[in-house]
Amino acid sequence: MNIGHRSIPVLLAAVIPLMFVALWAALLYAPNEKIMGPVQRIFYFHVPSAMVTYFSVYVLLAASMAYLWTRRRVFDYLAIASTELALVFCTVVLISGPIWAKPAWGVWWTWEARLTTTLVLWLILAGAVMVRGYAAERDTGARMAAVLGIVAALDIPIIHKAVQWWRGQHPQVFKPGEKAPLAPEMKTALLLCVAALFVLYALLLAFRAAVAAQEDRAEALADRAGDS
Amino acid sequence: MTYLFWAYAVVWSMIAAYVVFLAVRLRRIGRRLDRLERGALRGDQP
Repeated sequence: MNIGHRSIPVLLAAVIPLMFVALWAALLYAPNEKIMGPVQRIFYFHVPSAMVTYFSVYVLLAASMAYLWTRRRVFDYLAIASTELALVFCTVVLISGPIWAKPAWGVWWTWEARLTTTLVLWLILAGAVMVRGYAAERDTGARMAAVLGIVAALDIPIIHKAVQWWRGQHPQVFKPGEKAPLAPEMKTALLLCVAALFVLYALLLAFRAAVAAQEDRAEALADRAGDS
Repeated sequence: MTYLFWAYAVVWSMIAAYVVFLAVRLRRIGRRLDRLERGALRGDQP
């Protein structure tokens, strides 16, 4: 079946070598961190996953607002895709974070500001996915999910500022107005991992949006067959 | 090192699970579209 999206083969060809390079950089090229040792390498996927989550939520915000304004289905396909991807990457953050926290802080979880607000984001995104399945009509579900998408976007600046506002213990590598205290090899590894995850995100977004469009087409055909 | 292993395992498992989910959904919708298009063609024939 033709997905009908020309960017998918290009993104697929780019993401495979990028992923291998990113893994090499994170596990072999970057030096061990002085205090935490090898476990710090979780950073190279934990932080880019958080960045992709933020970006995906902003894509969701734009798509949701465009859908509520225009009611055009193409924006809803984008909203469906970006909601699911934001949820996937937010789950990665919420699982990789505690796995890192246990050796670093001695606990799996703490109700610290950034962790708690990120969990709130996860719950909003899960709600946005579920509301589509439970709504009586497709368009009602789409509108409700769009509103939840806008609410999710309001949480992002709160997550980002949470450590400053509530003096949380979550580390802040990128403090505003300061250079990140990373060795050059660490910065390179981080950038490669960020690039790899963003290209992966773009690929999955295009793919999921195309699947959503095909599902809509099938519903339209089924409705027509039912009417004839 | 165990923590590092499990963190990477989780990251890649989540991404792989989502790709599998998309592949299954795509296959299902492909079959449904084929069925509907065949049914529409039959309906057009005299």
